[in-house]
Amino acid sequence: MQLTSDPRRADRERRFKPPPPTSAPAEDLTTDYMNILGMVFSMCGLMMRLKWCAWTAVFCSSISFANSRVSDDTKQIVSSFMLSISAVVMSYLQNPAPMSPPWAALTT
Amino acid sequence: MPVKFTPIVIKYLNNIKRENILCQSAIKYKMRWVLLSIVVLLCTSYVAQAFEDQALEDDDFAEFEQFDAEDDDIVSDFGDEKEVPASKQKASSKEQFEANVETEDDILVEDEDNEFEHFQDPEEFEGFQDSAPRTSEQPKITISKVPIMVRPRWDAYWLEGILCCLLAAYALAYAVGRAKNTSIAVNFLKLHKPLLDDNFTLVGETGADVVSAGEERGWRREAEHCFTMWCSGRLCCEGMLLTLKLIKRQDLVHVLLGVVRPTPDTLLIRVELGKDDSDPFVLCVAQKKIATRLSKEMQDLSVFCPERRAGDKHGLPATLSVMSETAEATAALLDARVQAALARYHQHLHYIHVSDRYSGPKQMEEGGVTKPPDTERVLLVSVALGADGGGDELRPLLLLVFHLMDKLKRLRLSKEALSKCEKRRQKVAEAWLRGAHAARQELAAAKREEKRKQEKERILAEDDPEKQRRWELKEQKRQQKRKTPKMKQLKVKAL
Repeated sequence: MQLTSDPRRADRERRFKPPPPTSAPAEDLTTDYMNILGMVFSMCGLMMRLKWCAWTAVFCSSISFANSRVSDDTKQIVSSFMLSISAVVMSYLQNPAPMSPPWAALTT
Repeated sequence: MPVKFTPIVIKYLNNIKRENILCQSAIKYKMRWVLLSIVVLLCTSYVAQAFEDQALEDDDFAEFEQFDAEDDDIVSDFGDEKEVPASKQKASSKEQFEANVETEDDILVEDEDNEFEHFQDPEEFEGFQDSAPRTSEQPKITISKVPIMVRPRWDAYWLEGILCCLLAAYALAYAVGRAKNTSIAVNFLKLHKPLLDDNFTLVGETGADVVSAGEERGWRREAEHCFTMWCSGRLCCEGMLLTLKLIKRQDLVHVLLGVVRPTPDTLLIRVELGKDDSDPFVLCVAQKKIATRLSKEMQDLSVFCPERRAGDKHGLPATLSVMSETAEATAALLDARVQAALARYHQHLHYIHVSDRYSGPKQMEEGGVTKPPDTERVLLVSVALGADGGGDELRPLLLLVFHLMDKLKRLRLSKEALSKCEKRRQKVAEAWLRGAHAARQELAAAKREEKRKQEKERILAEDDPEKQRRWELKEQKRQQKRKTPKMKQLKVKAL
């Protein structure tokens, strides 16, 4: 399948126009979901002093950061990170005891 | 004149003088005794006072003797708690005395510092009846063994350690995955940019967030796994947007999910066609599963291409399905060269979608949608890349896209097919208008109803019953008025 003549036309050059949002392929919402989950877990970690919640919030923030687009608001990602890390720090300041695994309660 | 005394008088006078002298000596003697007695009295009183002072000093600390005794007991309790035999005590009385003096001093110091001393002072509590008689034997204090709080060792934090390791692994996977995705994009440019340069005058972008091989134009990074490149300046199209959607290698969770359910890297080619670049028709060739999904999701396919036919009826592999608005366009577009290319590379193809009424996925009905969706004239091709971004197998598929563009430009439907297509579009537009009109009416009715409800609530909230009655009458009249004209019309029709 070879092309014979030169199809290039400089006069048909158009500037890039982003396609309308309705016709664009489905947007990846992982970032938003993880952001919300991270905030919920952070608040649970801070309010209820649940360490596993605080750690989950850190992971949610990490996933949100990894999946974020370049055009996304960096402030939101940074605030999500700060909130989750502060949840971890506060939960360990309040109770420095190590976290017990979920199966420890079952065995005892 | 001098007075002359007789001898008798002189003798008498001498006697008197002697008696005076005797008297004076006697007084002097008596005075000595008095002084002596006074001195003795003073001395005795001083001695007595001194003795009394000493006795008072001793008595001042008499009440504390009891506490000293208690302290001795406590000291002995805090000691080895072994009772020393009495004989031994007597034997070393001197040494013990000295030791006791030392301990007494210590205990006194402790008593001064004792912040609970006031509990033992009866004057601190008013009206407190010391019912319990003071006994010489104090209750023995038993100190229970309290577990000593020792800071847990670092190995107790093993779960935290695992979590930290996971975070570190995630960060490492992010860095490695990002680099891998970038290298795939750069590799694509190295392999296929010459072909793109042969077809377009403008390929790629420059500036920040651009991934390119060297200092050339290249991909624009949308995300760590998504790159876009705009190409323009060619016959038969306005431009072509290449979107490289790679596996989210930067996200460890997606990488692990990919092990369970593998997904390939994808190249989405979106060719924007001009007004005169194609006739009005809709056609889609896709893998069977994807065709089912597209026919449900896509607005134009669901409206214009209700029928889905197997690919082998059009000379294509059986894994492909064809959805077409007009058979004429299908036959013209899927010529021998296209069939040959699809037969060879069909496993890499997701779908080819040609449409003059492309408006993306169906929009959710949100009450009254009164504006028709914006439509575009596009050619969409989705291609699955090989392992690690693929290699030369993509080149024939890119050439196929250019061939389709040229074909679309040359393709002219017959008058009958064209008029059928135009009629179909008109019908759809009318149906849309009717739907929009109905939606507008519904919207207006809902607004009216809302307004009436608000008015009713306002009237009911007022205290004036006369006003409420008037409003109710008015409402009844309005309801009757709404019903009666229909009856009249029916009567007229019946006549």
